[in-house]
Formats: sequence, C-alpha cells, structure tokens
Amino acid sequence: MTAYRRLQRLLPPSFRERNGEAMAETFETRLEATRGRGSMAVLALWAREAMDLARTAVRLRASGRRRRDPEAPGPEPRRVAKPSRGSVTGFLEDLATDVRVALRGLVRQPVFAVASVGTLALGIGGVTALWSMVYAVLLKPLPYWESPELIRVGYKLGVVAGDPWPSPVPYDVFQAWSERGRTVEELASIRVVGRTVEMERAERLPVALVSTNLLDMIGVKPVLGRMLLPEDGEGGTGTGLGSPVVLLSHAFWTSAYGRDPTVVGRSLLVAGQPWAGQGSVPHTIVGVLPPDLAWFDRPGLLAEQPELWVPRAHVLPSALAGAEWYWEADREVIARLKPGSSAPDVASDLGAIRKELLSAPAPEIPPEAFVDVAPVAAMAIGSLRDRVLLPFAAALLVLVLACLNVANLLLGRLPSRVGELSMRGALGAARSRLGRQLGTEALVLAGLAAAAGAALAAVAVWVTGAWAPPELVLLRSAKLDLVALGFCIALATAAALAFGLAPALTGSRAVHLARLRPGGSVGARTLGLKLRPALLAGELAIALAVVGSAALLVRSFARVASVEMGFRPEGALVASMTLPREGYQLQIPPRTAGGASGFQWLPARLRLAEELVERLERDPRVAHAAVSVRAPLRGGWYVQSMPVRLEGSDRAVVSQTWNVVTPGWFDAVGLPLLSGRDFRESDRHDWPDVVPVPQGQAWQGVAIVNETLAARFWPGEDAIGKRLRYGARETLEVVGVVADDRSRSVVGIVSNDRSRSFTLEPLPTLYTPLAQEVMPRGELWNYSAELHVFVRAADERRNASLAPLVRDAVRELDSRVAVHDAEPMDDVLARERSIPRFSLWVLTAFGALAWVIAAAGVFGVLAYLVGQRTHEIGVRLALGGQPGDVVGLVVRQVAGLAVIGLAVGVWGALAAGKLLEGWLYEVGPTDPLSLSVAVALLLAAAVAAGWLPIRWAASVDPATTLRMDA
Amino acid sequence: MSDASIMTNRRAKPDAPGPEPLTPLSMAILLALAEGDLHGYALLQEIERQTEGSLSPGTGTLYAALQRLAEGGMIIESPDLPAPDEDQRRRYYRITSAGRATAAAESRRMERVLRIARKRLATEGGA
Repeated sequence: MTAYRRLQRLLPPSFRERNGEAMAETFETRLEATRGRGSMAVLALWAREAMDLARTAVRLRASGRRRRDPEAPGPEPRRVAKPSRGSVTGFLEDLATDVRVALRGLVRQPVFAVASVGTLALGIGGVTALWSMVYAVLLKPLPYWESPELIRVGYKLGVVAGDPWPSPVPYDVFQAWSERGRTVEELASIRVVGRTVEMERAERLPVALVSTNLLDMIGVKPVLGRMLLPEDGEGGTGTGLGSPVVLLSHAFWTSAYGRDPTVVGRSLLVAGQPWAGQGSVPHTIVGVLPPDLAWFDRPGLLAEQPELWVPRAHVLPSALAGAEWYWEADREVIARLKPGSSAPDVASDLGAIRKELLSAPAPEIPPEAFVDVAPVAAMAIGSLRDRVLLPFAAALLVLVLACLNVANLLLGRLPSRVGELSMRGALGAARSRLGRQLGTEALVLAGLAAAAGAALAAVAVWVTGAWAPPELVLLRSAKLDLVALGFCIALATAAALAFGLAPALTGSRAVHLARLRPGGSVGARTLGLKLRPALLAGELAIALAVVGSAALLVRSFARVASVEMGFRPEGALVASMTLPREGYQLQIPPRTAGGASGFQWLPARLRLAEELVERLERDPRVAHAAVSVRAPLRGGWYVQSMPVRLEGSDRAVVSQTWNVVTPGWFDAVGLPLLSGRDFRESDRHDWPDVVPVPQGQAWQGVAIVNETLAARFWPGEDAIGKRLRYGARETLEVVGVVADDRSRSVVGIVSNDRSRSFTLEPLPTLYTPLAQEVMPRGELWNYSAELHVFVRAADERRNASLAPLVRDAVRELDSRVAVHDAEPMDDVLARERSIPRFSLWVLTAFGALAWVIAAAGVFGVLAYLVGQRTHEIGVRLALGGQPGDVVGLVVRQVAGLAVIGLAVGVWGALAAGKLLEGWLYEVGPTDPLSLSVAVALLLAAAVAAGWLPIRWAASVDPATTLRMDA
Repeated sequence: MSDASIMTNRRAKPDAPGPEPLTPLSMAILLALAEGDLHGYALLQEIERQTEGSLSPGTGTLYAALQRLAEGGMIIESPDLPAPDEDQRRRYYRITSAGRATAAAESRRMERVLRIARKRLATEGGA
C-alpha cells in the first residue's frame, strides 16, 4: 500500500510516526471490506480517504501552530464567528467579517446568487419603473387643472344613443351657458388648432385659442410679460377686435428664442382667422407661460402641446353672427363651479339650457343627457388609468413573486446552513452573533438586489421616456420615483430578512439535536421540505396568473392595434397643399351678404384639384390619384356638429364626420366600395363662376355613406337611392356605401368613461364630391385652406418616390400653392400605431418579466432539490442506477409540483381574466388561446429551468457524493 | 468538563451555560470504547453503526481525533498486543475513567438539551 503511505507524507512527521502504521492498517482493512462493492466504491473510498488525509494534514499543521481543534470538520476556521467585543471597533470588524463572509458565500454559490439577487433585482426594478410611470401619469398633481372646482363641460352630441364621442361645444351654446348658467361661477374655453407660423420658414404649429379669462381662472402666472387681458381679442383685419397678441409656451420660447428675456413686445407672424380669410398677421408677444402648463384636449394624454396661446374673443365676432355652423368656433369648455354646486348640478343646469336651444324639442330626453361633465384632471388622465393600473397590479404580483422566489431559495439553503450553524454554535459562537451573521447575509443579498434593481429601474424609466410616443406627454416626463424604489427595497429586504433569519430560529433550537439525528439537520429540513414545494407551486401559480393576464391583454391590444383600418394606406402617398387666398377665395362683403360675411371658395379650387389629379394620373408610376378636404390619419377629422337627417323624417345622426373628395379617392386610399358606385365626373353642380350662390335655393347632390351611417338609418336595408338632408338646404341621394374608415377608432380606443370600456365604433361618415361642394353664405364649412392629395403608386413599394412628382405637378399648376408634409401613408400609419404598440410593448415586457422570474425561481428550486438529493442520486448511480432513472426521479418530483402550481395558476388566471373583462377587446376573459400560451410558456420555462439541474443530477459522480458523507 | 484540554481550542464564551459540548466524533469514539477496547477499523464500523451512518470519518480524521483524546487523557492505547493471526500493526484503544466521566457529563448535557427540545419542538416527537 505504498500509495497510501505516500499520501501520509502530508501529515506532520510526529503524527505520522505515531499513527502511520495503524492508520495504514485501518485503511487497508477498510479497503478490503469495500472491494466487494465494486470498483466504483473502491475508487470512491480512495478519493474520500485522500481528501480526508489532506484535510487532516492541514488541520494538524494548523493546530500545531495555532492549537486548533484538529477534529472540527465543517466550516473553515476563518468562518468561525468571533465573539463580539462590545466595542465599536469590534462591532465594525465583525460587520466587515460578516459582509465578507456573506459575499464569499454568494460567490461560492453562483446559482443561488444569480437566482436570488437577479430575480429580486428584476422585481424591484420592474415595479419601481412602473410605479414611477404610474406616478407621473396618474398621481402627480396636474399643474393648474387639479382643482376639483374645475370641470370640463363637453357637448354630448349623442342625442342618438350609442354616440361614444363627447365633443366640443358650439359657439351659441357656449354663449348661452355663459349668460344663463346658474351653477357655474365662470366659463372659459380652449381649442387647439393648427396654425401656420412664419419664422425663418413657415411652420404649422399647434396653437391654443383660449378665452381671455382661462389662464387667470386656473391660476397661471407668466414667466415673462403678462397674461391675457379682457380687451385682447381675436384681432385681425376686419374683425374690429383690437390688435392681435400671442403668448409663448415655455417650450417655444426655449426652442425658437433661446429663452431670450427681451422677447416681450416683439412681433410674430401667425396665420390669422380663416373665417376672416386672413393671411399671416403680426401678433405682438405679450408674455411667456410657465413650463408646467399643459393641456390635454383628448383623453389619454394624446395631445399635442400648444406652442402658442392666442386669445379668442369671448363673444362671437359680429362678422359671424349669422353663421349657423362654424366649427372652429366650437370649443372645449372649462367651468369653475359655484360654491355649493356639484358636477351633476352643472350637468342638469347646462343640459337644460342646451335642450332649450335645440331646434327640435326632445321632451323625453333628460337634460343631463346633453352634456358630458368631468373634472378636468380626469379628462386628462382618461382611461390611461386603466392602462397603467393593470400593469401596476401585475408589477406588484411580480414583486411578490420575486420575494417568494428569494424565500424559496433561502429556505433551500436552510438544511446546509443549519448544519453549519450547529457546528459554529458548538464551536462557541453566541446565538446573537450567529443571528447577526445571518441578518448581514440577508442584508447583503437585499442590498445587491436593491442596487441592481435601482439601476434597472433607472434604465427602464429612461428608455420608456425616450421611446414613449411624443403624445404621451406625462409618460415622457416620468422620473425614477425614489419613494417607490424605497418601498420595493423595503419589501424585498423584509422578505430576505424574514427568510434569511429562518435558520437562526430553527437552527439555534436544532443546533444540538441535529447531531443526534441521522442526516444531521432533520428539523430544519422538515421545515424546508414542508414550505418549499408550497412556495414553488405558489410561484408557478402567481406567474401563471400574471403571464396569463398579460397574454390576454397583449392579445386584446394586438387585436386593437391590428383592427382593420378599413382602408389600405400602405402603398399610398399623402401630401398636403395650402392654397393662397388670392384667386381661390372670395371675400363676401357684409353688405352683399345680407349681414353674414365670410368667404367662399372660387371654382378655381376645384379646377386646381381636378387638373392636378389628371396630371398625376397621366404618369405611369401612378395608379390612382385624388384630392380630399380631410385626410384620414392626418387630424382635422373632427366630429361634425351638423346633423345628417333622413329626408322626410325627424331622425338624425348628429355626430358624424364628413369628407369632400374627388372621384377615385376611395381607390387612392384603398377604401373598398361595398355597394353602389364611386363619384363620377358628372356629379357636379354647375356653379356660376361668380358668386354668391343665390340664397334659399335647394340643391340636389349625391353622397356616399359609410357602413355605420347606412346601418344607423337603414339597418338591414339597401342604402342606395335613399335620400338625406345635410345642412340647411341640401338634399343628397346616396349612390354608394363604402367600408368604415376605422383609423380614428383606433386612436379612439381611449374612452374616458369606464363603463363604456372599449368601443371601436367607427364614426358615421358622409362623403360628398368636391365638384358639388355647397358653399352658400353663412355656412362656412370647409374653409380650411388645405387640400390633401392622395396618390397610389402603380408599384406600391415605390410610393415614397412619388413625392417629387406631386410637388412638381402642383408647382406647374400654381407655384403659389405650398406643398407640404408629403409622406408615404405607411409612415403616417406607423406613427398612428405607435401608441397601441407602446402599450403592447409595456405589457409584453411585463409578461416577460414575470416569466423570467418564475423560470429563475423554478431553476433555483430545482438546482437545490437536486443538490439536496445529490447523495441519494450518487448512491443510486453507484448501485447501478441508470442516469435515466435518476432524471425520471427528479422530473417526477418537479412535474408534480408544476401540475399543482399550474392548476392553481389556471384558476388564478381565470379569476384575473374576469377582472380584466372590461379592458378586453374581442378577446374573452377565458380565452383558451391566451391561457394555453401562458401555460405552455411556463411549462417551457419549468422545463428549460429544470434542464440544467436535471443534467447535473444525471451526471452526479458517485465518488464525489459518497465522499460528502465524511 | 473537568478536562480542559479537550476544550483547548474552544473559545471561552461569556454566555455559555454549563460545560462545553464534545464534538460528535469525540463523543462517538468514547461511547464506542465504553463497551470494550477496539482497533481503528472496528471503531470506524462501530461509529457508523451507532450513528446510523451519519458519522463516517475518514481514517485521517479518526486518528487525529484519537490522538487528541489520548492527549487529553480520555483514552489510552491498549497495552495488549494484537492476536497472532491479526495484522501486527493493529492497535487497540481503551477508554480511561476520565473519558467515561467526560462522556457521562456530555450525555447529561445532551439530556438537558433533549428535554428542552422535546418540550419546545413538540412536532419532533423528541426522537
């Protein structure tokens, strides 16, 4: 046995001299006894004995120098906790030791470290980031608009049931409310419109037209200059309303003037009132607004922020006195409540006034049905609350998941820790000292997770802010919320401490018992064995609920995002052109117009459009070209406050949209004609070149309606040939029905009334030919100087290359017409879809987070289960067990837990689905696909996470495991 | 513990109640020898039997412990020589009266621990 004798040389000579012979004899006897059990067992014995000799040698030599106990197995001497010395230095030294030991422990167990620190960090980071967004969007007080006294009074056009669109208030109603409203202290108005502003170059900017009292009413103080005064009117030539003034937003002051303090008093060229036919008018800059002033004219914060604030006359200019329908006179109305009155009071008060103004009395409809009343803040937030609260609930669950995970992993360490702690207790470490050590370890764990989580949250908030669509103003301004971070860290630390200290509780009691029991640490193991499968199953259940909910919402949002636009914008190009006044508009002088003035488009506008279309269609690269007054996806597509009536009936559709198009427009934008025909060249009024059009004349025309409008008036009937009345004097014959343009609905998924949840009802839409545009005096619609050109490319991939073609064609026709914003409809579409896509992204990120944490949890737990059973597995393998059997053993155990967890999780996901029902669009709360996807994902996670530990189990080296018995 | 030498490496603990505990291996050796003299391999077998396999020291560890116990006066090498048919390198160990007293003290201490444990850890059944 020379090999063993050679190994003995490791021992100190004195010890070897005294015991060497006897040891060799004992070893040989042992070896002889082992031979019967096969060569593997012999090898294992050899390995074990060699290790033992080496260890003994180290200990003996060490104790020779430092008088250490040579027989203490277990922890290395350096891990023995020193007794507290009671002094600060001692405390700090102990602390440093504890931290070092904790860190070393983590490094030594990388699986545990990564699984616990990583998932906890994910939980902390994810929840903090979401909470920061929630705070920025929902909870941070909205500057200026927060007061409960401020309510927005919408004009509920929907006397016809099912109208989901609250709308701005027309001028006459606003005026009546101001004069007669008993429940409101003060009424103010705002409307954001696009206006051309001429700086170095002309630019179209969002401009807020506000009543002069608005800013004072909500308490805005200027950064520079002054606020608006009652005498600041709409201004401009022919209005007799004083000289025009403008306030700059802080952003515009910064970007255009570099915060020049001398800006007040300078002049800025802003397009004047379209109804007055004004071109650019110099406006005097009177002040600069504070940076935190924002306005949200659409729910869900989907608002362009006004760059300029221009006063609008509180009273209607006399020039417009006869205008029945002047839509830019519509406005968002902000009311300040009288003390003692409430929002419902306002609804019945103002609703009654509006009801009186109705031309057709509707006694059966209660006054409240006519107005939409909501606190301003609620309007701004809209249903974004719904969008953010859901992921937030998911985030909380994910945080719980992460804590469970850490609990699970810490409990997993319990058996080995108890053994170690018993030993250390036996070696003289005070229980309090051991408790402190464990506490420090938990804190180190939580601290690392907190640091990583904070970094993660900071990055997530930053990325979200940078990537969020510009319309989500408040989301973009989200900042890392330190309170949320603190909360998450506290929760995570509490979990880590609670479960990290468990060994101290069980351990200190089991400390002496442990050594009497075979297996050493049964008490602790029992605790772990009882709790951990429950925790693992719980984790899987929570993860399934979260992933399942996320899958439901993702599917729902995917549905919303992929809602057929009804038309096919891809492959088309859109360009806008602005017509000059001269040659296209005719100013109607007050005296010839019998009191009503305004302007009228000259036939030159129609000729320009038609010649442009003809020119473009001659080009072989163009398949279809057409011109329209409004453009899908391009804004300006407002709810019209002019009712469409059924001829010979009182039935009317009040809120609808209207577009005026040239023949071929439906082909150009790809909106399918469902029945009837398109407009023809022959659908035209023979307007005299010289206006005015005689008043009082009734006009016959043709119209194309969309499906929704057709269904409103003639459900189940053929709409072709039916007659409508639009405006005051026009009778329209329906010649065609086109598919719904759902492009507005896609944005309109945000409804600020929870009870309605998602409705993607497209607006009833009326199309009339440009060649039949009715422009009698006083009916000043379509005054917009813009026309939109749509070109569908023959080769649809080359639609972008048509922009120069359009520009050249327009220039050749009239070089004064400005062509702007030429871009492929694909780009417009992508922009439009950025918001649903963003929501989708957030939800997907959440599902993924839950999934990763669950997978990490399963992985950590499995790794430990396998680790705990290494000995057993090793024995099985040594006794001739096949790796396959061992794998089966582990798989069976895991599969059992997974089945229980997932069963509970399915139940949880179904319950969560019920809660989500109101937010789902075209997806049932028990959607089997979402659920199966979630289950499949988690099963895949469990399998993937289990794979490595199971491989380890199969590849356990019996020699190694047997040695561990020593 | 009357014999302080076993505890040479134990740190004095101000809050330690009563005598210091023995290491499991030392205790197991003393108990194994209490029935009669044993040689190294027999000791190993007896220890494994006593502890139902939970304690299975390597040869090096065993001899280090034996030397430590011998230095502490708890055991001695038996003066009897191995039987003629045995390996002559074999050595027998015998427990001393000091060793018996120490083992007895340790078992009393364990009994105390057990009593407390039974009372507090009812679920364990005190086993």
